[in-house]
Amino acid sequence: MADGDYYKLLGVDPSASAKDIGKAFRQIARKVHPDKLPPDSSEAQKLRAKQQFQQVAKAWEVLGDPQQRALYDAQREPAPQREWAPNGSRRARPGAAQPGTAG
Amino acid sequence: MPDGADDGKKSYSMGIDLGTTYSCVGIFKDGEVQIIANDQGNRTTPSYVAWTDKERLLGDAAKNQVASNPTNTVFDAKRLIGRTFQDPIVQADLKLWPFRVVSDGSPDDKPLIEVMYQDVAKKFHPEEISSMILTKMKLTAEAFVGQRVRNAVITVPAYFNDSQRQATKDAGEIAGLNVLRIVNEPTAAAIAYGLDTKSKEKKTKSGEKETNILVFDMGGGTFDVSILTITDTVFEVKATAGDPHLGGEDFDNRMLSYCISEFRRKHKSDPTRNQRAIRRLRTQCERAKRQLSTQTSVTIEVDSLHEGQDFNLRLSRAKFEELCMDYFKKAMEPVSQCLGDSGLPKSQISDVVLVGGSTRIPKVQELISSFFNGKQLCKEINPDEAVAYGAAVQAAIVSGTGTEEVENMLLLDVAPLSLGIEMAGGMMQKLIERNSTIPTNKSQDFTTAEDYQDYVEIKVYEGERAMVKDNNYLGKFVLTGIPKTLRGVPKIKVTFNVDSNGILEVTAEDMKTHRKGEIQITNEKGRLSQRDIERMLQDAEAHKEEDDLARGEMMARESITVYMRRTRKALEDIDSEKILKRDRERLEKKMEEVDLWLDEHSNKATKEEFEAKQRELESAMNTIMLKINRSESDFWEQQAILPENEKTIEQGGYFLDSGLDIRDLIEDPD
Repeated sequence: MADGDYYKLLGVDPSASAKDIGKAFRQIARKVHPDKLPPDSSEAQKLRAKQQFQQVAKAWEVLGDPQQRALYDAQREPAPQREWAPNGSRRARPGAAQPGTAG
Repeated sequence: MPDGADDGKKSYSMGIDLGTTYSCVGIFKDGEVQIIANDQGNRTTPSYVAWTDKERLLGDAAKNQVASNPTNTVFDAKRLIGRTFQDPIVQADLKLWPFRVVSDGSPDDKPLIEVMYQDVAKKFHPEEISSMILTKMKLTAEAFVGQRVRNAVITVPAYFNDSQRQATKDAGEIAGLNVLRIVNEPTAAAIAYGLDTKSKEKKTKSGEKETNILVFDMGGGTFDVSILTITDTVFEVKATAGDPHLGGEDFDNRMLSYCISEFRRKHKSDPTRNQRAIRRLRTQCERAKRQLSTQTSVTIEVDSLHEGQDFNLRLSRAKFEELCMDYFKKAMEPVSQCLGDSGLPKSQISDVVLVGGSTRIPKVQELISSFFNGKQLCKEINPDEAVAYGAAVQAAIVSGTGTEEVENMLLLDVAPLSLGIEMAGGMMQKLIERNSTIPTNKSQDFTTAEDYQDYVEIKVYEGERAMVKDNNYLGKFVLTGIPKTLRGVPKIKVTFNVDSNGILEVTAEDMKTHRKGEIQITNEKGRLSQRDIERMLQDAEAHKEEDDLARGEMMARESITVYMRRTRKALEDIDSEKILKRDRERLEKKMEEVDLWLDEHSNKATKEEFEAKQRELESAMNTIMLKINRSESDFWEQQAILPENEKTIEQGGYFLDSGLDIRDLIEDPD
């Protein structure tokens, strides 16, 4: 799943303060959280709300934590780096390595 | 029978705090939360179920007879739920329980509780015991609102793991409930706190205020710590930690062992195998523990405890603290862990909220306060009711049955434990980190290690340790139906979903074919199967009729006892001049007779028999009351009641039906 730009997801400027980011997250969460759907919503609506919420939650998890935010900012910065050009393999995060066959 | 919004009536949703030792139910009604008292007038109900020769008892009725029926009185189901029989915690608890627990003998090694009911041994899963308590709470709520209530939010300790949550949800289903949500206890308590402070604050200035609070929740059996950020109407859990097996009962047990050793020392005899003695002593220990929260010493006394020997012990608060100090200190570890995880310094915690009965212990308060450098603790909210209160609010939020203020609220909770899978070499690879906001998900691609392999087995664990053997095994998922090809070619995306209840679900997709249905997942989490749940649900419904019958009898018995009490009181209050001595004696005799009858028949009589006896008593009483009232009115009606040995005119006597003596009215003809 493409995560998209976290700042854009929360509708804030990359220079926004932590407080403002939190505020933006809560505002969006209150709108998109599955609990806010009417009880008789369809499964598809619930699923969409869940996915939307998870995206903004992920964004807030990263941007709400000073360390993670710094890392994210460094990655995000389109600075002239060697790895950053041709094949885009940079996006393959180490965590997504195949675990092989367990058991 | 259709449930829910029948007759266009508003349907209610309740919040149930299903505790280890006590449970509590609340409902959002008329714009506020009502904590509901049970039929005994108590706002919390013991989490006890008992079987007598005749009936099943729930709550207070079960707990009140525990000393006389220890092996068939079941409690602590919450300490068993979602665990295996071989779990060291279960094995340790076993030694303290007077009821029997056995393994179901299956590979899942589920524990079963065995009781004797009508001379037949019956076995129950912990989920079934919990479902009975939930049923009791449901009936309490239904009696209050006067209609069926099916929707419920049930709370669990924040530190409950996946199996314990799932099992609690199953218990709700067995009780015939529609479980809207499993909510963490400290989070629910935080809602109660949040609404309480909000109502007190006179509209703070513009803009939202951010408050960080720490909830310290220590109840009868479990212990949780959660840190939340409350901003206006959003309650966001930052971190949670705890110990799912630490609470008031552990302190009771410490006191109990101490008392037993004292008894042994003094009397050179061992009461350990005397179930009744142990139960009586435990009850006194629990009471003494409560008293030691307000007084500095107590006397524990039990007459004729064992082999005719009385037990008598003076216990100081200091001694109690010494006995339990390691537990108290152990409770501080999750506090620092939680703080560390939240990334907040101590100084940023503006309130420490105490929840659960065990937080009344002065030493516990002292330790927390000094941990926070002498901070004043928040004791504003009712520690016994806050969780049910918050659960009722969450029930209103989720079902959309609250006020606008409540429906504006949003709860963001977290997963308490990391979830991961076993990698080569027994390493744990975490997929979902602890304290991730839920609902959350994470995907991982899998492939095969051998040519033409058509299945992959994935073992799932929860916990924080590096090696899976040190973590809790949740179960395995087997993916079958993988297209046979060379190793490393298949690409199967497995997604771990933690839902809003903190329960894990797994889905898989073949990335080559994108056909989701192709991959089969066998879920072996050691939980009850849907078939088990349905069977138990049917059992529970069969039981309901017996219970209803028994309830009818119980109510009739209760009704006559209450009537006797009232009559006695009335008799005392009546002016002696207004009642004939003979009438008084007659009534007293009647009451004595009913008393005797009750002593003899109380356990056997049917509802109808109780009612008939009550009617007898009522008519005797009414006759007299009528007389008394008449004597206060006028002369003409003074003699409205036929005196003894007199007859009406029809019977050849001198009295009218109204009780008037015609001789008084007729002038002597002579």
